[in-house]
Amino acid sequence: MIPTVIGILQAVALVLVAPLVSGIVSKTKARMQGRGGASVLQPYRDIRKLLGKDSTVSGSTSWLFRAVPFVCMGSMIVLAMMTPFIYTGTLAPFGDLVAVVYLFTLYRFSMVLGGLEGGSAFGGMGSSREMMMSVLIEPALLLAISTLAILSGAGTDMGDISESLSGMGLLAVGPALILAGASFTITLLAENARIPFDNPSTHLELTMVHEAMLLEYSGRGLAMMELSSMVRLTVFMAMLGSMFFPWGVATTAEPVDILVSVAVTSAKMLLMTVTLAAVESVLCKTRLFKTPNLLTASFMLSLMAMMSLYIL
Amino acid sequence: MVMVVETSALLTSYLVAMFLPPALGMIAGRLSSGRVSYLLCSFSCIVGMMCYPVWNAVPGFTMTFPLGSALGDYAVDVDMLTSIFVSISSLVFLMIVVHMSHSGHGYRPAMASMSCALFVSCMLCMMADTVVLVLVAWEVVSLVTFLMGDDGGEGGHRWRFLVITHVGGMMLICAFTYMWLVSGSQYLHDWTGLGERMGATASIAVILCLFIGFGTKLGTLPFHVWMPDMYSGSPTHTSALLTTVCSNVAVLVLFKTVFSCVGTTHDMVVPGVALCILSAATALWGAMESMIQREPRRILAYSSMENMALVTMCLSLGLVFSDASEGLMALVLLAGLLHALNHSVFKSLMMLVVDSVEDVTGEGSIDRYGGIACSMPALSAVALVGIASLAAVPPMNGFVSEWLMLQSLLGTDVLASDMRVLMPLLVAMVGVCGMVVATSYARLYGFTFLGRPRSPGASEPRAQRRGSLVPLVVLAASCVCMGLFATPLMDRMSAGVTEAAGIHQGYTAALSGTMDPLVLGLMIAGTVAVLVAASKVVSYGKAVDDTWGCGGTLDERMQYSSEGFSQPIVRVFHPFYGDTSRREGDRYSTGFTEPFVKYIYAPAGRLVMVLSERITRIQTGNIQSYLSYILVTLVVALLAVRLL
Repeated sequence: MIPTVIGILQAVALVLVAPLVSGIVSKTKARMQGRGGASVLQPYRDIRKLLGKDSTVSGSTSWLFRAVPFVCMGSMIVLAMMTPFIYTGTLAPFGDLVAVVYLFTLYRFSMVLGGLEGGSAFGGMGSSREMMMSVLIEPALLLAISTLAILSGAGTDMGDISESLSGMGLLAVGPALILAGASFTITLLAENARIPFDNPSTHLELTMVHEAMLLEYSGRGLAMMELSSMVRLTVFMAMLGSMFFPWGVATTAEPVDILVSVAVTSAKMLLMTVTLAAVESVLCKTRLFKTPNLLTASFMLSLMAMMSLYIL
Repeated sequence: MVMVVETSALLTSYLVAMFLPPALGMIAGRLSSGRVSYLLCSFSCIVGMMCYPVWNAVPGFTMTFPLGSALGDYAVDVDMLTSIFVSISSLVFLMIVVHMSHSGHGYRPAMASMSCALFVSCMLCMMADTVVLVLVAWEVVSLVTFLMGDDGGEGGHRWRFLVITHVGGMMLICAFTYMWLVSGSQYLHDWTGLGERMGATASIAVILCLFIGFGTKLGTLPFHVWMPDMYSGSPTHTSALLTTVCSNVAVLVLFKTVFSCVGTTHDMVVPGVALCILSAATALWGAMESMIQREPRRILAYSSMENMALVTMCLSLGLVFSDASEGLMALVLLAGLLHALNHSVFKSLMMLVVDSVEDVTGEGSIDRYGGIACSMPALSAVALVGIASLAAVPPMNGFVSEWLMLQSLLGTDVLASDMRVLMPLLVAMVGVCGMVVATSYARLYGFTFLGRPRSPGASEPRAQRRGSLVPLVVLAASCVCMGLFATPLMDRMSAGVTEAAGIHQGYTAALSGTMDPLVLGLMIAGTVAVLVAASKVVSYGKAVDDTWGCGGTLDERMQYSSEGFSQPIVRVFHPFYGDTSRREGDRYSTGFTEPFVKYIYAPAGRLVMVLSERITRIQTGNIQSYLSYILVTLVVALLAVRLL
């Protein structure tokens, strides 16, 4: 019972922290560009503002369009419950890493269908490009996390993987972990529509992918879509921080452990957030048909990571 | 003693209830324009659905029919797995038949008696316990589907199907006859562990023959070329029966013959890996091809090819794992068989959805649909369940079997085997295939139901007949239930698999992960419900406006096209698709020719034509020359007998 409660609590924490992460990224980017930038709390204000607004929907959309934001947000919350963030006791026994990858599919599938609603050319374009990228992202993601499962020998439960890897200490650091980590980092950028794959701060450009699918949403629907993509970024960071480099994560529910873990996890998240902002500031968005090169690299890295476990 | 009499009486009446009505239905033919046959067939389907409960009640479900034949007896033997397959296949069959009789355009009196024949042959083939019955029933399945594929046109698709399926049929006849000769018994239950007596080489040859023979029906490369044409050329209900019930028959008989009759006493790693690579290639090919099709039925045809390739991949991995770990073998076989069953449910649902859409719009290409979700929300909702199952989205049934498949590939026991390097490649293959078909299904659903109508037929669809949605709702509910309650189904099927394949461990022994489909489904549904409820608390204004069109108004052509949707993937995987641009005069278009037709079937066809032309030269029509042929043949034959 207690792990379930803590699992749900940390999911709540993850969802609440998600806008802050986005805020820090924006702030850091602004500073690196020599601007003052908005407050790190700006995403919270944006979401509150959107939640209070009326919504306008296209007359050529169906019931599905209205359901998509709920399904997207719901799948991200379920995902947050299964991801080790501060504590390794998650709700993962109800859905292991394979289920997690397929939950991402649920999220993406509903978003893509939402993009095709309304019959806007932008929505179709975004959906089409999103699927093109995901053909290479999703297998890389599956392979990278599976590598951890085999490396840790703890089965495919995400909480167990985290616990077992942190117990292994430095023994776990080997070619497999480094290759899988590198692959996962590229996947993180691609999956969250970050530079060099997509520009999250663009609207109405012919290069946009993720934002193109959201054009028809307004009010609450948009708030939920925005929040769910923030949660997605945070979930990915939590996975990178607490599964690929899990040292410091609480493996027991002792208050001291949890407190230590909160401090360590915050430091890790801050580091990743600033790094992400730095990466986005120094790179530029590549052409759409150049992105498969990088995605294939990520795919090959994760394949090699898993192969290295079997061969070395 | 009384008990024995009772059970045998129960069994007899059960089998009579299952097979007599459709037999009468075949004879009834056009009586009352086929309604009688439909009713008789539906009744037997309901009886067929009770096969699993009856199997539970009657221990030793075997029976020899009082029908004599020169070649041997006709007997049935139902084990646990067969009874589950028969039950679910009957459910699917029933829904397709009910839909066929309710949808106005699909109704033809001749189809009624042929569905009866197909039901009898499919069920007998699954239950068969003698060589003759398996082969005869299998042949009848092929012939009846050939007849049911008649759409009143030229019928090239049917003949391609018939030829290819008979190539497979020949391989099956060879394999079964050889096993019959070695075993000396016509009863399949006597064949358990026959591989030991056949020797390694013969076992491998028989297994290859079986996989390829049944593979012709399942669309294994390069025998898949009939599938898209047959599925798009035949009446939809025929395609639906062919891709679901007939595929189930092929998978079940393949599984029982390979793992129960031949067994895995010999080292099967090399043929297993070869078959696994063939299946993986088939799956990728089917996934990629389904991306670029425009007709919904062709999309579904290639998707069937992909799904069935995943099933055969699991069965061939069963061979690979046979010496490494029994638990893993049980797991991978369960994954394959469960996927076949799940596939039959969601694919029949999608076939019926496609039929309904074609019916109400009068169009046959996804470029002419659009916006049907607004005019027919109920149809779009059941279609979404089917699409989500196809795309393996949790918590639908397709997800559960893909989860099992990936679990078996990630199984830690395989670490000891030499073939472990294959596993990451297969995981990657399943991942890529899964996403490509998900794209294809998103495209199918998105361009059919979403967006704005692209043709007059789609903007004002005709009303559906009353009641034609009922079978779809039942199938959609089955998709959800088989997903949520997958654990009890898996446990029962696993018991059947271990019993049939002689494995001593259950699938849970090799499972390295945990997943509770019921809890997972409830978590997703619960979270979404909470969010919806929370959004109802504070009311807010909702305005309806046009889709944003950059300041102008959008006409029906000013939206993304299905071809444009798949174009980025075609471009990324361009070595695979080759050059797809076509030029006719001053018009450019895209098109794709199946390389297997271009490089294998077309040259083979030309060769046959050339050879037959050569042979016609000796057909002079002159009586003297025919007499001389007879003389020469006689002399050669006599010499051969004397000398050999």
